[in-house]
Amino acid sequence: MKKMFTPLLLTLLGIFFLLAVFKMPPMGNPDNPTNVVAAPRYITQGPQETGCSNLVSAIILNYRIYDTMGEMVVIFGALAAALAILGREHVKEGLSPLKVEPSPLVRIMMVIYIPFFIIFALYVIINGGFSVGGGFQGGAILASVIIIYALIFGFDNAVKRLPAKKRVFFEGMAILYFTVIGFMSVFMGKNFLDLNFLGISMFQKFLTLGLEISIGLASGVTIASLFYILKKVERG
Amino acid sequence: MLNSASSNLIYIASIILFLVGFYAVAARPNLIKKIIGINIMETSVFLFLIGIGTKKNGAVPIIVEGVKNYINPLPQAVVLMALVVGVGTTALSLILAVRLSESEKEERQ
Amino acid sequence: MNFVSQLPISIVIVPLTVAVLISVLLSSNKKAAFTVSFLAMLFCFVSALLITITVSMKGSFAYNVSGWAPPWGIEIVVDRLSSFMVLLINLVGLLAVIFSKDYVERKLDSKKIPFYYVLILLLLGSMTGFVLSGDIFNMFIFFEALSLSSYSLVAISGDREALRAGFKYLIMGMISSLFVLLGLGFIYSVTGTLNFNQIALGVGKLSDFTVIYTGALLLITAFAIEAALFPLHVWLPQAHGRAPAPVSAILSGLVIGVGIFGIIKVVYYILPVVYSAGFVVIFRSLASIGIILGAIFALFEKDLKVILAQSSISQIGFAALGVFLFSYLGLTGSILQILNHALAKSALFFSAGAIIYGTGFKRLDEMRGIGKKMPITMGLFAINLASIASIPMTCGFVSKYLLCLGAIKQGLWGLVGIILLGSFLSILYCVRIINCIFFEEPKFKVEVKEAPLGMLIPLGALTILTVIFGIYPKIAFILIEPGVKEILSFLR
Repeated sequence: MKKMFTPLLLTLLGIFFLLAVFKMPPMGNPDNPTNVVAAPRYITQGPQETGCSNLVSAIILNYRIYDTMGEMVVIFGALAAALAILGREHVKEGLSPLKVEPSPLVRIMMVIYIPFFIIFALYVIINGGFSVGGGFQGGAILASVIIIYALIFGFDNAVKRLPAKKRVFFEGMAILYFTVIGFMSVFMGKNFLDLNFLGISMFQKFLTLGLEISIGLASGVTIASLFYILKKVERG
Repeated sequence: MLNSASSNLIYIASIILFLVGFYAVAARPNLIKKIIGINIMETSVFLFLIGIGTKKNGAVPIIVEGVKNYINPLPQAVVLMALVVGVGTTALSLILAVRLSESEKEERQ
Repeated sequence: MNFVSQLPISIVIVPLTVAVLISVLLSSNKKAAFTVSFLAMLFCFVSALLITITVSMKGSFAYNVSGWAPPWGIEIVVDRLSSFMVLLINLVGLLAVIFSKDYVERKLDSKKIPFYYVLILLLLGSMTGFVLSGDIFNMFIFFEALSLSSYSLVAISGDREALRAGFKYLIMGMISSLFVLLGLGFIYSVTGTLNFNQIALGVGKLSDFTVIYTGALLLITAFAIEAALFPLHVWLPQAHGRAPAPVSAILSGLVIGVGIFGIIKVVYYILPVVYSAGFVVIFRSLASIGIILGAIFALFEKDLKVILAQSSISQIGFAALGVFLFSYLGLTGSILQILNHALAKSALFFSAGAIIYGTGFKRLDEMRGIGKKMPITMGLFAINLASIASIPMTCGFVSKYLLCLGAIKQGLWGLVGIILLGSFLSILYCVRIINCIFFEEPKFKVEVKEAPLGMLIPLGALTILTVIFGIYPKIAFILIEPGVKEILSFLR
């Protein structure tokens, strides 16, 4: 009974979707509502209004910044849930050795590469407003550097390099930054999170850069923390 | 009908991917496979949204001198934000799965 | 006005920020965590009261976050309905935080307690954000945040049943949030905007409705998972039954009500033509099956909290039925039902929590005669049960009376029968609980004392509101009526 039910449900769902897909406006047509209603303003006035020549960043960090704040809340919520359900990792000296010692070649290569990885992550974070990149993408690279380090040099070492005490502040920093800027703009008589509350475009660019950096560091460190918490469990 | 089918191929592909993910969630008892299934569904929805945002001969939405025809940046921004949200929920589901298997192990002992 | 216009965003941001502050600064101090979260919720409640008063006097207003107008930026819509929901959320949230103090102290690991408050604040803040948002994608983000914190709150105690329930809820919830995203894509592809008012305008200009129907149905299905409507309710009994009692109160009282609110928004803003569509019949019959089945399951469960959870399925079925009547009486009855359910069911879960706190009893047959030992708690419990069973003079009677009237006016006699049968079944399971608690001889070996004051205050406050709204339903009407008319004007 149950074996029959799932394929039946899927077929029905598929037919239902396909009927709609055939009626959708043809893909890539310049006259589609998606390209006519809201998009032209982003493209023509985005760079002047937000100071970002990367329009995706312009939307994320300016037009729809409230969504970005919500997104940071979700990431933070996942971390808070992890802390509530599993708790912070606590490492005792020598309790979690590597199962397989990596070869010297890998170690040396990593020592050489990791600074470049970090610089690349910072480059992606800082250049998000002007070219390909952005806060979260850079943060993900940063987190993957930390994870690679933990995999090769041992979990203990990685935790020692970035202990919980140092991480705690970074984890919450993006949301706090959003709140501070938001209420600053409220006190200047503008709406919440209006980045251009002083009317100076240079200052807006500066705030946007700050946003990128705080989002990048917060998401990177949060992902690293999630990794640490999960890793601890694996060892029991 | 056929014409729209050929121009909307990506939508159809993403719908098929969505159903594949749905099958993995509905039919597999393994928790990790369920999570993977949900991730496949998520990817398919992202593909769908990106498909909505395309425009013929449109350039990447980064303003460069001399280019006039840019694609709509909003779906990309939406996908980026949904991606981050997806990271959060995936992390949470892994945490729950890990804790669940841990407690089941304790139960057996 | 200028000051009040900044309040809606503050009541979303303040709980979220305070949650972060607790996690960063107070992660090992549970007393301070409680105090801070109590103060934050007090602020939110007072602001919600101010907002509701302003809106009911001066009419609804919109607020552009970060200063960009709707098709480009995000709009917060503070109309009568959403301000009413916000007031309800922050009221029950505040009381749940007060109730949590003693309960959590005894029932949770002391390491987990600060993070419990963090998650509660995230849940309440994102629920407020969801209700106030006038933009589908923003709604999706807050929907994700609220469901994420509710999964983890269900599983927070860490015992196996709670984890299982949490994981089941998580899988259903993740599918539902993907449905929201997919539906949003369909709607965006034909209207080109994510704002509700603009979508309502855009839908009017379309010639073919297939895509919009698909998108709207996906959104309705997604919110129906959150609201636990009939075929999608499977996660609810375990999740609400196993969660800590104050969390069950929030989940059962508010989160499923918020799901119904999401359905109301989709149905009235996005759906193009509703009267002629055949699926209305399907939705009505599913809601009816939910009403009857939930009540029947509630008759046979053994665990008190699971009984209450099953009765939530039945009660929220009434609210959904009201939405799909598409009439003034139906919608008013539905919103009153959300109000009644939020007040009464939260109070019931609070009293179930008080029993668990005092004695550790979970099953109904363990609680025989407990009413004689905890007279105040169980007396309040009985009043709220009367509201669920729709006895006159309580809030639950008014809402079901209105629903019945609405169905009679439209000549839907089958639905009238369903509503009466559902009310009758709910009387049955309430009588069963009352009989067990008050009229059987106590046989327990442990000593049973009255619940502490910190638990009785929220319980008493909710009960007083239930009775007030039951005797003077006019107060609720003044808040709801213009909002319902406003929303019905969107109906095509």
